[in-house]
Amino acid sequence: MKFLVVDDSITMRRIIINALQRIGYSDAIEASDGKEALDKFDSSIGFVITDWNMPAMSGLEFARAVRATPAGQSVPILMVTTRGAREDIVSAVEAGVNNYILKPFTPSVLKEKIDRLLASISAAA
Amino acid sequence: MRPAEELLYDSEASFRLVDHAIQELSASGAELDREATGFLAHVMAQPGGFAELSRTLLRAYAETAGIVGRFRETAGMLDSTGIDKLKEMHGHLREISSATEVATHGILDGLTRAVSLVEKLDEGETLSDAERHKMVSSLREELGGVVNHLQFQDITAQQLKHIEVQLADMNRRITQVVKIFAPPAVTFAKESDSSGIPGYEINLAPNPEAGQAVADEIFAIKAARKSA
Repeated sequence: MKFLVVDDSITMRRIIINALQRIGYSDAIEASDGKEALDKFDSSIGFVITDWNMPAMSGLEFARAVRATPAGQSVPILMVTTRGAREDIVSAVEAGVNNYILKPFTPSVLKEKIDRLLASISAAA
Repeated sequence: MRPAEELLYDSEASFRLVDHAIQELSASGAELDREATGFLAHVMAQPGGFAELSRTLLRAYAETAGIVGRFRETAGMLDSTGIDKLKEMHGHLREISSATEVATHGILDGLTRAVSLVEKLDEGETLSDAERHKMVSSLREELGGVVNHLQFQDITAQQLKHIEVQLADMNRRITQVVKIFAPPAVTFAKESDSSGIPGYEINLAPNPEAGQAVADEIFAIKAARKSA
């Protein structure tokens, strides 16, 4: 499965990709903001992990834009962010985000969320 | 709004006029005291009489009120919002300091344990395969933990970016205040422009664990509704 990791911090992108490799997912491409991610997004992407606070295009706008594309209607979107207010989380749900992780996170939490999302997609199929 | 310098100059002129009018009125004060009707006649003999004095006093009052208003406006620019922003910045700096310290300790502890495991592996010629496998797995976990602690860099970078935007705003306010009180001859450098700073609004979770619990609850409700 191909992951698209979107974060303006190169450190975070490396940490997420490193964590993905540790839990068994080695195919990942990266983007530094929503705009670049949208350019890279296509039907080959099986899972999106995105930050919220980014220049050019935020993670929230990116999630909405992905959902508006034919290829992005059902792709799982996991948001990894520092924004923890209830209204932010609700906004993420409304934008089409499937699950939410607050930074700092551990690889086990990342694995649990990815597994759960993939399981729910399999169950729905 | 007129500059404070101009208002001060006008009010001084008004007060000088008042002072002059009073001096003129009191020039013949000794004889006027003895005969009130003579005093009134004297005042009325002045150009404009009491009406002119009253007008001059009102003008002086208006100018003074203008200055007070300008002071109030200045205070408004540095009001509680500015103080709150300073407090907020202080809070963010404390969080940065704390996050950096926690991460540094985590990294140091992880590396210390990793070095200890490497030494044991290096010396442990008699280790069984199972023990060796367990130690390598622990070593992998420790090194992974070290990488994980580096997330503090992103979190503190976001807080610093937020402080940068706040400081640019404070700079703008202070420049406006200085402009009000500076002599007219002083020229200012172009007002600092914070638009170049990626000023997205941040809303850092003060307690990530509690925030994660809220997120899990919301997404669990969503999942339950979807499957119902």
